[in-house]
Amino acid sequence: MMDGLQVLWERLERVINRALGAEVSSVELQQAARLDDLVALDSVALLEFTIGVEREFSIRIENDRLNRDFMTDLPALVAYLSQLPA
Amino acid sequence: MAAGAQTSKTSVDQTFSATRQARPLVTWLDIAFLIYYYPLRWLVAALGPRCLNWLQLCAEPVGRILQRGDLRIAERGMTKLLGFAPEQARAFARQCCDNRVRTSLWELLPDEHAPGARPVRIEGREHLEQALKPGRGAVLVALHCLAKREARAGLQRAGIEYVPLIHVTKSHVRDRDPRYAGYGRLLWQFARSRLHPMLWTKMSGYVARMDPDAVLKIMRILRDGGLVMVSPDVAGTSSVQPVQFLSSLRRMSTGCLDIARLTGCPLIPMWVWRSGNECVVEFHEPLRVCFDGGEETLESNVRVLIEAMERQLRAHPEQWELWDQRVLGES
Repeated sequence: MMDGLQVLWERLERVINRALGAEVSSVELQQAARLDDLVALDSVALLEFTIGVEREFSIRIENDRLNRDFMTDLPALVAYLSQLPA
Repeated sequence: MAAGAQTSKTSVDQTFSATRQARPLVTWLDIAFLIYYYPLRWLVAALGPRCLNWLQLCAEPVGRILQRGDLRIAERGMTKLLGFAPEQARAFARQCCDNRVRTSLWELLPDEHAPGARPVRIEGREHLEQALKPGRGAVLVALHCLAKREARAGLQRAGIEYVPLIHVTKSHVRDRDPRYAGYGRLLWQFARSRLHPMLWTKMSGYVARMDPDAVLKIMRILRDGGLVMVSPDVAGTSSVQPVQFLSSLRRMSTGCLDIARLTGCPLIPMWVWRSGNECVVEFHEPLRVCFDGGEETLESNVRVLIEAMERQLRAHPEQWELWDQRVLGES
């Protein structure tokens, strides 16, 4: 289970670094409570990140979860992604 | 769109409360509103939309006198930026003034009377239908036009619903919007309690630019096949660039290009103008933007967007809402 979560964090790290042009490690991500604590996240960056997550995990995030609070809450996002069917 | 929303929120709140404390309990504007605004609104509601035509005839000459400063600014802008001859610019500026009077009167009309009040002609609908065929939404690009409320009502009647991205903030309400700027504490408290819940979260049918979730709300609408309307002719978002607009350097929002790039939705120019007693809405072919390249492609896309807006402005200068803005000379 831990390995699966670790893989999720690493994939999320890839999305953030690719979409936002950031250089953060999965360890830093796991230590941060919120994404906007680590990277400057204006509206376009938020959209880039959201679409990046959807593409990386081949999912469509439900409309009621599409809000800034949820998308920047990294533990909640990872918990959500971990519950998705593989 | 939500850039700096969090960082600037505290300072906005502080300024906001400081200004609010400095307000008198009742101002002359409050009294004036009680004397003319609300009775006029009730009168219009009672008489219905037809009375607006009569009111308009009476109000236009008064409007020209009251707005003579703005009229001069519009005239200067049209001469300097559009290259019109002084006579032509004066005529357009006068029409612009009359249009503003019409818009103010339209604002008096309660929402339940708005549909059907003015006929709306739709042109170029095929461009819109073509763009929506793949099942995704589209971004409508329009200038800040004076006839936007009646255009929206008319399009709704024709089964075309769009959600406008609007720029409403606390500071906007406090400082810039003439309807609220001079309120005293009494009326302000009343307005605030009704406005603020509406502004960001509970406001339906609009997306507010300063809403931290604005861009994700837009994403939801677009992927559900809906339409979002943006007006890039002001600098109200995080994606602001200095661009050459109407032969002068201005700061304008180019966020719609980012939205189109990321969501894959087309940008469709929408022109709105009043012609006689009707309102015309014209949809054009999607903008030919390309997102394959880097910085150069971005510049050419911005140019395409600006040219689309300039074309509309040159075709209908009397319909632009922003001629009176002092930002025209801003660089």
